[in-house]
Amino acid sequence: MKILLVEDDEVTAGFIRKGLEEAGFTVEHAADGESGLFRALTEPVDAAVIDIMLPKLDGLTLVRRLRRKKPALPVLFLSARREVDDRVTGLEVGADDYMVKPFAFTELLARVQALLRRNSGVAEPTVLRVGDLEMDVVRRRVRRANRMIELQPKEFALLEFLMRNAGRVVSKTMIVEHVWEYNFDPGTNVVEVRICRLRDKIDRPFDTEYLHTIRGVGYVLEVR
Amino acid sequence: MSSKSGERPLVRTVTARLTLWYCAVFAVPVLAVFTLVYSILARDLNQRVNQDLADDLAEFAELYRTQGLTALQAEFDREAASDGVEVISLVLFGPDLEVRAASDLSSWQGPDTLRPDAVRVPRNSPLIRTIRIPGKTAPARVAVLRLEDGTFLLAAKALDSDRELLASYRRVCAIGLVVMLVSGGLTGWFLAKRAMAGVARVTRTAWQIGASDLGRRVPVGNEGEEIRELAEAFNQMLERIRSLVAELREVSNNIAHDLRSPLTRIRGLAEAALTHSESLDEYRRMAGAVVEECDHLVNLINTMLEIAETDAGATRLARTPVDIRALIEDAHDLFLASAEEAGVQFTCSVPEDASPAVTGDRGRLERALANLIDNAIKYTPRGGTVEVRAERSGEWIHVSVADTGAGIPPDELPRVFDRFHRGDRSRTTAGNGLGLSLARAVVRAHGGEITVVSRVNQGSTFTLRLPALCSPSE
Repeated sequence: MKILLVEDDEVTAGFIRKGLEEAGFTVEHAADGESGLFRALTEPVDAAVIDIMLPKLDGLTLVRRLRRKKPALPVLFLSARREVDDRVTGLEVGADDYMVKPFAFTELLARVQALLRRNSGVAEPTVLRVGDLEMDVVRRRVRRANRMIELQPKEFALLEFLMRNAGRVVSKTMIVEHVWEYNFDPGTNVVEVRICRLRDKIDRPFDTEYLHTIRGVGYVLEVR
Repeated sequence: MSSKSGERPLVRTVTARLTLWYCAVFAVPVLAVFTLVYSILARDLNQRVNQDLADDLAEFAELYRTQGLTALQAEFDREAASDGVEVISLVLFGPDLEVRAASDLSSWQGPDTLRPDAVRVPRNSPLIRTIRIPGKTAPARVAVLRLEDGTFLLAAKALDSDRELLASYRRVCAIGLVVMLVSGGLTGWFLAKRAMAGVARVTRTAWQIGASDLGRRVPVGNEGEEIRELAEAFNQMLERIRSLVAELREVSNNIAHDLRSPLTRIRGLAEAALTHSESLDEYRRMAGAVVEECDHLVNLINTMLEIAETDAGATRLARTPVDIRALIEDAHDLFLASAEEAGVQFTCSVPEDASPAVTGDRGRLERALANLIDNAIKYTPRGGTVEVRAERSGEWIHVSVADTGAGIPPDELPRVFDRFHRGDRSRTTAGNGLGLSLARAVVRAHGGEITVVSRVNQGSTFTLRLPALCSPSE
């Protein structure tokens, strides 16, 4: 999978490129709008991450022109401005998603992967597995090592979200957004408490832990 | 910043306009009265002359009929002598318009100018006309009567005295009018100047108040109620500006402080990572702390912007019906685990009958409520309770969050909604001092209000008052 990154800030571009490459992507980097558009049109890329404020050609114009030739290419905008108008214009010119700087890299990665998945047309699985932990999304059953685990509805939703993103770090913001549909950080320890309780049910009774905390970044569910 | 007083055109000032109005108000009625009196006077004079001539003619006709031509001639002479031969002339023309008897016509250029047009003279009544005598300034009125024997009896009167009377009347009028105009103008100017003096004073002060002396006020004088109100309104506006500027200054100070602290921590962590040789785990811990500090900082900036935008009315709020019960139940679901963990009993009660609803932005209301609940749980000790209630009261919906926590000292109560205000006790707790400000901004943007009742060591109750979606069905 090849991802085009159009970003003029060297440091930002550097950490995005590094992160994406570590996640297994090939990254093509352009430092201004014109060369970004040129590469997007000439090279076979699967998705593009584009900053709005760019030298030579701004991101909005870039995407508007790009859309005429490649209407299906998944595009994610980055912007330092927080205004809703920017978000709306960004989505109007044809971006598929939008992120405000500064962002958590894990979140960017999750969104890029979601865009690629959406584009690939593969249906989401209804039975999820991580190690010997198994979730049947339709029957709403969770079992580990063949032992049934009783979860409350929100715990189930939280675990489903973690399992769908197994191996990837998810931030607290992402969890609050997906599980509670709150688009803000509710403060205190809401997420920590829930994670802790989930851990009590899916990890504590067993010998190996799947749910890990990455300090300052978030949580990851994986077999280590 | 347009023109100062000296640069504006004089005619456009209120003073100039009032002066002109005063002139007009004085002049127009005076002119009307003068004109009316003049026309009545002129008409009366005219009628009197006509009547006099007609009476004279009748008298002379009678004399001529009874006593003959000689007596008439004698009477002509006597009459002309008594009134003045230039003023009056009397003639008896024969049927062929020859002169049979006449007073002294030397100043009338002889009888020719007076000779009537026989055909036009009616039988029974006198013909009256006004003619111009060569060499005389004023015209003359001439009356001719046809007598039974075919002769024409004529009487003419010079109108000099009448004209003079009218002319002098006009003169008096003109002088009167000028006097009225001048006095009207002066009065107008003086009154307008006086009325505007207060305005001018307020304006002067306003120009003099600069950015640095916003504490200055326009003195409230006694030029009248309106000026007093103007000055008071102006002072009130100044007070608002001053408090806004003061608030802005305080907020920027707070921002500087609240941004500096996390930046200091971030810098310290990064520097420590560079200078000490630590284990990999220790580096990870430091990097994690840096990320947390950054998130905190971003959150702070975003919240601050959001409060500012909401306060200024710059945010577009969604306007959809929001079910208060669902709002509270969601919040309950979100915070229940945290409350249990903190050993706080967390309950919510919403009346069963009609689920109350408001029109508004669900996301923002959620946030306002979440901030209140978050605070309540944070400041309530183990074993306490936090209760969220919603109830309808007329056209309002009250959503209250009551805790049995530390409470807020009375002297701090008025300031709890201020940006960055943090009570002494809350300094040690996580938070940015913006939660209540944001809640207040959101509630106010929805046309509601937030209030707090609190007693130290017994607990606090924050109440959101929001306008209900529709009036209660009775």
